[in-house]
Amino acid sequence: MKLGIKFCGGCNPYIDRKLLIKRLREILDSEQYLFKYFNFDDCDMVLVINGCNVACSEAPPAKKTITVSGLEVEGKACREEILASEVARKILNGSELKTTQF
Amino acid sequence: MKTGAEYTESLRKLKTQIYFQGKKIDNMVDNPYIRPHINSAAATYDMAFDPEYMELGTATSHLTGKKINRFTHIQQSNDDLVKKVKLLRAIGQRTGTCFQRCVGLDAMNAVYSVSYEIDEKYGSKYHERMCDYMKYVQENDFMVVGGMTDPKGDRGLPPHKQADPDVFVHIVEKREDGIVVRGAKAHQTGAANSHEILVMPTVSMKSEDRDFAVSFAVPMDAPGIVLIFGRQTNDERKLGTLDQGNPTYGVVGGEALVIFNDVFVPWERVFMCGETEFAGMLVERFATYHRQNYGTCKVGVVDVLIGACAAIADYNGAGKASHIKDKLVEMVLLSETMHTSSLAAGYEGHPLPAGNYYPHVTYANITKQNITRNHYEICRIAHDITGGFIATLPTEQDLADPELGPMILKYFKGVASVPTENRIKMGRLIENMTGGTALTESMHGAGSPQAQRVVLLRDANLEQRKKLAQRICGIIPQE
Repeated sequence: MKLGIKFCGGCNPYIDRKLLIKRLREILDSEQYLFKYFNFDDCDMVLVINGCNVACSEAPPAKKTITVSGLEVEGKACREEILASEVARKILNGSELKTTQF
Repeated sequence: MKTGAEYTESLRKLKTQIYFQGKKIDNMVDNPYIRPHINSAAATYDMAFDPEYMELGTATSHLTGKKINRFTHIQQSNDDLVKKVKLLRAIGQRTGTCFQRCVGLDAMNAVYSVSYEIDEKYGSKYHERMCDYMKYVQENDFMVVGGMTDPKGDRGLPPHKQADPDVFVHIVEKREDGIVVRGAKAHQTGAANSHEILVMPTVSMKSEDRDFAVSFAVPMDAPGIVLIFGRQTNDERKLGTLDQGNPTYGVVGGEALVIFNDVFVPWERVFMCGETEFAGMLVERFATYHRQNYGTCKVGVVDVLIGACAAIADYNGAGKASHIKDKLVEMVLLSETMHTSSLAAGYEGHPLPAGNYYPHVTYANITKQNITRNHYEICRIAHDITGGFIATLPTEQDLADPELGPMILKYFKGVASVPTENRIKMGRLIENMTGGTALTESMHGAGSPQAQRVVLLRDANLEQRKKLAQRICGIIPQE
């Protein structure tokens, strides 16, 4: 499974985005999930990580996505300590993912 | 695009003539006085490759369609102006100091726009040359220093009336293949570790000043260019580590006096040559672009400072005191006020005749004016929160001494759970970020406060505002 990671530009992130990825890597099976940071065309899903709830980074078209916007996952508040586990839960339970429409 | 390491290595190939403390520096890259500034500029290169920042750190060239470092980009939209300032905040958060490269970015945008308007009037080829130059800069991912501030001599006299004309850069010879220039540019941030310098006039001019109305670009190691690197309040500390506070990236940008001793400039790098009526326009264009930046690079730096103050309050055992929290809130208020006007200047930008976008002039000037006040106040609060120990701390050599070190660790201890060395490190960071060169740079960088007030008055539209009042109180009829 190829998991795209798309960051916003990071002008003033409210969360530690690198730490989120590190924790996610610890939770998800590294043999099963390949993290990609560029060229999302062949990705099965894309995790969009915005540093704050301005959420200026757009999801790539026609992809299953999960959007983190600061201390929110898909618009719902989430403490930073459990951000990675919440994102991982959504990834593992693929039925919750949204597909971006354009 | 270059990585930070490639940028740093590329500097080794330059033969820039730099002097400091009476000696010529032959190897700037490994020189302890210059290296921190190189590291800081290198962050502008690395962040273009970092997935966490590349959405801001890169742009698409309107000239070639290629992906480029945003520091070589000609602004194509309000979104570009906003992304520029967001990028500067992100880099400021990483370096905690000036990263120098925005000066050249703003100079390129200013010259790009004004060269077009000169060509419109005179049918000259300056803009075409500037486009070629931009492709060259983008292709090589050069760091360009924007050279605006002349030494100026007697501030009451125009360039052509100066006792020594060399206090303003001017043309001393026009040849078939180019021009020869003489003079100097002062306070040039990042000049030592730049590949190129893009020179612009520094004041409005009349026809008598035609030899001074000149804009051009040359490599920093062009024959005849001499740099005298400026000293900073923390020079001696650059030979150590802990006492620098920010040992990797240093304090402010590393400024130099750049002297042009009869430097030859080929015509293809000349972008203004005697068109005095455009000198003021070029000054204002550069100033506006650059003043917008201050509400964001400095805010990124202040983000670090606020964090340092919050941390030192914890280390001191005062983190829960209500007055400390209130002071931290005040720092945030002052800082984000600066940032909002910077963002507004970008969102309210507009296209120039050349097609590139230009920040809102009033908002950009308000941004810089606020910096000259708010940054000082923020630093005052930082000193208040931190306590007097940052002014009296022993040196890092004393700390390393086997006999003195343990006594320092014992008597500079704060809360028991925090190692004394961490308290000293944080104190040194705050000290270095809030004093000396760092403060003056906030005051005068991108123009002294009065320069912004002149623009604010000019654009205040007082006559229209008088009418608003006259209508409401019935002096003139309501429409």
